[in-house]
Amino acid sequence: MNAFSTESINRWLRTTNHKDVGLMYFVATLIFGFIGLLLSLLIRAQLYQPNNGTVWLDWAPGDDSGSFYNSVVTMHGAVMVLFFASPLSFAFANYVVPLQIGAKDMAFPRLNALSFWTFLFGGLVAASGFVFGGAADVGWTFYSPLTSVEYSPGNGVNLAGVGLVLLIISVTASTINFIVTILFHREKEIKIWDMPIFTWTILFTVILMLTIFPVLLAALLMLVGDRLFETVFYSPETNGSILWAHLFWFFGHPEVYVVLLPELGVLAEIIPVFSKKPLYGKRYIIYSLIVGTFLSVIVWVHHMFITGIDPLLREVMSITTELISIPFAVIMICMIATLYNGKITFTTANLFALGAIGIFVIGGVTGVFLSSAAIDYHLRGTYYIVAHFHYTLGSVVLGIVAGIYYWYPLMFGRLLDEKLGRWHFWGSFFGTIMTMTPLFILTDMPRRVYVYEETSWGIYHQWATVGAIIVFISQLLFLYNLVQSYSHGKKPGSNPWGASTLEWS
Amino acid sequence: MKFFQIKIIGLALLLGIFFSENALACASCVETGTTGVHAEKYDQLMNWYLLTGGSVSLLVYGWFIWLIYKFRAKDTVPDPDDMPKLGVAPKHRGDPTWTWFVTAAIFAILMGLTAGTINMVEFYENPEEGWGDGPLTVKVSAHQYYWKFEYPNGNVSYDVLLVPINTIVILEVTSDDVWHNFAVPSLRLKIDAIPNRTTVIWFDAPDVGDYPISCMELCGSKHTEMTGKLVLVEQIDYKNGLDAEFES
Repeated sequence: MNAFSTESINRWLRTTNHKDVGLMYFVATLIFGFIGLLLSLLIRAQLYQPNNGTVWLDWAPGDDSGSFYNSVVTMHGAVMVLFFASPLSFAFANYVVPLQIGAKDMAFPRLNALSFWTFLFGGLVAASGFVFGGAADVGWTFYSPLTSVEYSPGNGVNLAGVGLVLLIISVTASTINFIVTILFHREKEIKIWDMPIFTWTILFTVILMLTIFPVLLAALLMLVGDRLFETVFYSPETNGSILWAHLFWFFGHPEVYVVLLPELGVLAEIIPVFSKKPLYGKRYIIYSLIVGTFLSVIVWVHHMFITGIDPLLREVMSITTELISIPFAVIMICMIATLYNGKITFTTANLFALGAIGIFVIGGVTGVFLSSAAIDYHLRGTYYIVAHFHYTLGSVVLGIVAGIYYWYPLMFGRLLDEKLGRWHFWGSFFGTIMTMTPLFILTDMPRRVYVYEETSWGIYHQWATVGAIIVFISQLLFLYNLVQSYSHGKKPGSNPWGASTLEWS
Repeated sequence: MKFFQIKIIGLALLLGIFFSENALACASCVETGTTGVHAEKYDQLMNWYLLTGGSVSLLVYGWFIWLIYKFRAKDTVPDPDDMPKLGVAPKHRGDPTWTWFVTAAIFAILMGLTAGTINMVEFYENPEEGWGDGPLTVKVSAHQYYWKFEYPNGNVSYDVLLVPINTIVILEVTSDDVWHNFAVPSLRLKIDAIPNRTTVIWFDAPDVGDYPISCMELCGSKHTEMTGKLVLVEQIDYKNGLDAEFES
């Protein structure tokens, strides 16, 4: 059947099967991911050397190069976090979770399809600003009052707001769906403690999402009210900036754990399989997930250490932020301990998984520095922060890509090419390290500036740009691998990796 | 197997080069262009964090890489006990109570650092007696896209903050339009400038010179151009009215 025949299009538009929805998430998020990657290349090209001219910024619609650069930065962040990393892990969740727990489908299949389509349109609406006179250029944090009509008169913020509201609808439907599926649609023999670890992490992810996304929805509706109906929720006279910051970061901080938890699940599935040993301390990992999920909603003030809020609150949130490193340290230690006495095979999936742990450790340790209110006074808003969260999120992406190599045979009935996969891994791994390590040093340089005069910063940015190009080339190999293996890949047996989870039966 | 070993050594070398290069660069950037008690105290605390974080990550990486090397597959047949059975959850493996002890130990160190953090927070909050003359209070207001400084004697300057050395300077920072951030990296000073809200920060710097001021929060399309200069002069020059140059 031709993929573009009416019949086929009809089928994909109307499908409610969890596997089909998972595949659609997979393709859509990869496209969003490539958009985000291209935007990051634009950023790296602009920062390549000190006093760089506005190289590509001159293509900008209108002639406001600063605004266009801000749009690129904003959309890179929003697309990568909200429309790539998080939903890509939900591509696996949709495909794998019902299989892992022996459910026939998701609890509400039509709702599941609705989730996908609202997610897709949300992403397209948010990004459509680029064609309709400028995408949102206020940073993915949307700090008020820069988002007010007075300072951002264009359509970009409205479009991003609507896109995010659509995303929240999608997320809410999806979270309910997963909670019901996981808790009530398991096969009878599968007791809750026997659930595979990936399903566990998805359960905590959706619980966390259900806690935080409504807050973002409320915050966004008030913002839309301010912009379109002249309400005054975020008026500076009533301290609206701080209100927005609290609401946004109450969502924004746990959001990074929403992105992180499924990745931990993927790692905890893959590493035992390729070490030929059961996961070390599975129960402790689950306890840690409970603690981590809870702690993640009481650390948000560490994004607001220098807003002049009560010093006591700063000190308390410093301590909770340090506390949250403990459950995740336990999880990482358990995963590393899984290797003990194992027989580790270095398939591409496992390379990516081990690489993700390697990268995560630096991301985590540099995050502990930032948990200190005092250290944060100097590092906030600099490239150190950029390097820190790209290390953690870089680890997330490596982990999820490990998931792609691992589950591709399940999803498409072919193995991805291992040789290309290795090139892809080493390129992505060193590329990420090379891009982000030099940026740790730039603790004096403000984020989101597109020209810098300080010549001594140049060398670090040049390393970073070269690293980004290496990452990009590796992803092209990956794309080729995905397409090529779809039709020419080796056919796997029914359980190619020797896993014990039910999706391989 | 030879090839594998070469790869591991190569990996270690590359990582080593990256980190040592960065550590050197970091050391040199800390040494030059900083001044004042804030910077001194800050760098001390930061060094403790770097030392702790560095040694913890070295331990973890050492253990991690050793495990990968030691237990690389010689054959790929699982031990009979570990043979995976489809649909059967593997038996619970390991008693990781010890990980809690490890993390508790890490946490004890962290708490030590936190004591330092809390000290620093208090230090940033309250100018201490005996750090110098003063205080001299300057009102800072941020605008798209410039800084305005108002001195106690009624003088006003734009983008250039001129103050004497060895004096406690208190900055009362606010914004006239959007959210900005007032930062003097070489003095380790940073505070948000938020409309309709006044945030306070103080400093006391010993060295005459020019230090860059940046806006560190995205404040609009010309965020990049929102820079300024902190000019520190001798007390005597300040009293003699050098600041008159910056009147407008």
